[in-house]
Amino acid sequence: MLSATDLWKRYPIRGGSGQVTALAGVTLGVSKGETLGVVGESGCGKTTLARLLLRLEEPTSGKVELDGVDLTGLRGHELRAIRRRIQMVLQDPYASLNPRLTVAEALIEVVRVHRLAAGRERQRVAELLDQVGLSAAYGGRYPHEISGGQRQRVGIARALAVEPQVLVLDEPVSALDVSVRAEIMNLLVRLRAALGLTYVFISHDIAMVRHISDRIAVMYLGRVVELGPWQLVLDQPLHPYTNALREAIPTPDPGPLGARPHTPLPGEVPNNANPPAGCPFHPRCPLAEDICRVVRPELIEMRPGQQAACHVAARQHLATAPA
Amino acid sequence: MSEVGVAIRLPSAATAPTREPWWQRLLASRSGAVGAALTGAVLLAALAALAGLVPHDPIVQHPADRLLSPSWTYLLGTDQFGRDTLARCMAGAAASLQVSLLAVGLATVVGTTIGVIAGWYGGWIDLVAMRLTDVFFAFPAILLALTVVAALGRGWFNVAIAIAIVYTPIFVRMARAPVLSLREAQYVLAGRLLGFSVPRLLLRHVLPNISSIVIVQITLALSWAILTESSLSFLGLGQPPPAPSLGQMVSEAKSLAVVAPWTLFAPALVIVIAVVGLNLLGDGLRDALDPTQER
Amino acid sequence: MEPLLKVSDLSVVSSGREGRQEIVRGVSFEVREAESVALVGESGSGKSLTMLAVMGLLGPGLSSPTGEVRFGGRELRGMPEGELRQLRGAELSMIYQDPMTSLNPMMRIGDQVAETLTAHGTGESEASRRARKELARVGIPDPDRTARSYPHEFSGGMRQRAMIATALVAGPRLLIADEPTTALDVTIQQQILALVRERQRSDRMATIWISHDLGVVAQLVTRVLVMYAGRIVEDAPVRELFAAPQHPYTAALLASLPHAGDLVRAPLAQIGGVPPAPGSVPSGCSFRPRCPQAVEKCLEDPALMPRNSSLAACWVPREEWK
Repeated sequence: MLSATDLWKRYPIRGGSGQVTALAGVTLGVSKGETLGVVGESGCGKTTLARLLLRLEEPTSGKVELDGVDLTGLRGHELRAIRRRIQMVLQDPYASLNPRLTVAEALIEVVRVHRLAAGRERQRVAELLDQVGLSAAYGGRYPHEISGGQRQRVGIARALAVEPQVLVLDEPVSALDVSVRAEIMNLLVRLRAALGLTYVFISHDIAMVRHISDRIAVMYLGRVVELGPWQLVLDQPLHPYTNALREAIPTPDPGPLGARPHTPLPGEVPNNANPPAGCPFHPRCPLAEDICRVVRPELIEMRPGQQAACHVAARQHLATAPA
Repeated sequence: MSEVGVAIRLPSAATAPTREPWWQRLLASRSGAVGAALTGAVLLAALAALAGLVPHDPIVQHPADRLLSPSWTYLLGTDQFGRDTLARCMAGAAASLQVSLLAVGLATVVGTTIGVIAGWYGGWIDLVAMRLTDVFFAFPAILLALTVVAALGRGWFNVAIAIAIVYTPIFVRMARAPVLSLREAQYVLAGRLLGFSVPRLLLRHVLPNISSIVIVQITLALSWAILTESSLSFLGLGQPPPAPSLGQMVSEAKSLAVVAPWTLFAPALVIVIAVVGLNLLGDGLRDALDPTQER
Repeated sequence: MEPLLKVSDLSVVSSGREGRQEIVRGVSFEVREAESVALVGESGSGKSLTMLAVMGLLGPGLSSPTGEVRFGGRELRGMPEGELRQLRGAELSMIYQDPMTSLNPMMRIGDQVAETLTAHGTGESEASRRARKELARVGIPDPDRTARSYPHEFSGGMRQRAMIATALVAGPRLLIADEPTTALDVTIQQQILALVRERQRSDRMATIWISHDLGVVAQLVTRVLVMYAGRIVEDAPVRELFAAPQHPYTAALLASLPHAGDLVRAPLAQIGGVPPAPGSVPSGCSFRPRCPQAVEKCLEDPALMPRNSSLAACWVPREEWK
């Protein structure tokens, strides 16, 4: 349904020389009805990836395809037609709604611009609100009069108003109170089933990603370093970075008495303007070997359906794989 | 379909809220009410003058009734030519408002449009706009107005143009700044994603969200315009006599102040009322139009 | 032995356009020497304001009409500002969420750390030396050189370490940490948590860690205080809290979190409704409208009462929950 092929995105550094490489050769695909989770820390490129998938920006090289259509170079009304197929749910529920429009006004606008419900616009708005669990009375409210969770529901309703096939969700619950996250996540799961949606779920909250995704992509410094099914990627990671992420997640469980917490991963996320040679993770990697400092590892399948970009992992897993 | 999302509805959302229309909110606030009253008074006086509903003709002289202090016949007295001060004030207010509204109207439309476009598109459009406004800012405002009127000649229309020219760059700058940040606002981004055209984004999403700034600027500009028009006519560059103008009346009253103080206070008071009223009205309007302002 | 910090019946009130609103009420708790305690709650629960009230740092429009705060045996409320200032930084320190606004961008890092000492009377060269030592202790590499850097030259994690250095350089007895890792990447957060854990141990420093993240809290403290709508609703040792929460709010919060490691992905247990805004807290138990265990008695406001080895503000003991 949605695929990215060898995406690169570079930005020139403002007021200086050189470039920042936000994405360095990302290739992945999402099938219809699937949910792909994307995890990573700052600088990993997940937000840039989202922007490219949504065609908010053009890649420096590589291409994005949506349902067979190449998104590169689309303009004007072709671009607008494509916009109906893929939508985004944003992180900050307050900032994502125009403070001067009521909920109903904001939703009606979408319906009208795309001429989607000629003659029955108000009804359609009521349907949309109902779909996200809000009564029609919410239509008359302004964003500042409703809670964060409700605003997020409105944001979801607005994205659904164009009847998209794919939703890109960029940290949809991170700005919400903890007690509200569960209901929004449940709503997203139910909508997915009811409407047959395909999701790209981007978050730094690894537990949430694991809860909703079919497959998970782990990104580091503009590259995908591991990709595989949800049960395997976080529970039996191939890549040392995925392992570090997993150990760093604070679990709401004090653990057995006397258990020592894992040793934290040293160092900082390096600068994308000046990435390390070879494997980008090698300066922090507990398993780094000489080859890691020189040769960049490719994303290779090491277990059925699970890929990783790591020389050490490749050696461990491919050696035992049947020829 | 209702089972798709379960929500506990807030009790207050069970019925749609009743909201006051903006003018009610305006009049409910202190500054809005006072501002509306003062401005309304001046406006009414001006309209009355334009409709000819004046106690005496503002231009006709009554030589026998020169320099009379306020009485029932002449409510604000007469000037050195025996002309009714009240009628002249009303007509002068009309002239001031005429000039100011035209000038500020032009400046707002032209300036805001340029500012929004420059802020939205950036690049060389922005560069050119900014450097042009820099040129205009290099001149002191009143001097610029003077120069334009000197070049174009006397008369209310040219005064209006002069004021418009001085104020347009201010509107450009003032509109551009918030547009720069609104361009990246999440709901604008969402609009782009939903396929909204640029005109729609600008008109429905950007403009309303800079309206508070624009409204305040309009009232400031109107106040300044009234003062400038008065200054220019004080200096003799406005409408030639005998057409009444508040500034000219003040100028003529300089020499009469001791003998007939009403000839000075009346026009000055009208100016003050208009300026204060506009400022208060502007504050009140800005709050009344903003849905996020709770009372 | 008297606890290091003893707070009794603290309240915080805001007087603004909407009139007088009680944001925090009846908060009482203790922290012993070298004990690590977490104050957990969502936005609007009043957790940050509570600690600001303890430090005497409430902003304009906020006041604390009732309560006692005893630190090291001394009553802090009513203490003259000069004396309070001597305590702050030296014995009682606080760190915050956003290091960019809590570090002066115009001042070198080393100078800022040293300032904590010079403000309390240490000489400049001595302060400078100790500052550099502290930077090393918090894991900032090459302290002699980095002390001369400015905050914007550091990454988020480094800045946070620098802020911790300014808070700890004078060796305080109590550290209050207000969500200092919320804005950080999870691997960097792990480093900072390890650092704080280590310092708690080596310096025998008491900590109050404010957070909305139950996961962070589990790794870090021995006791947890849960706040809801301006009151403490549960006060429990950390194991007990996670294994058998005694208040329905705590239980609901824990149940709504997905667990990495779950084998079956069921819908998350959601809590209906929203936390009440300060002006509209329901009468009786503030959690009653959303509580699955609510009974008739809940119309009466419960105080903290003993429940097994914890304290919970709930009339219904866990054994009787549906």
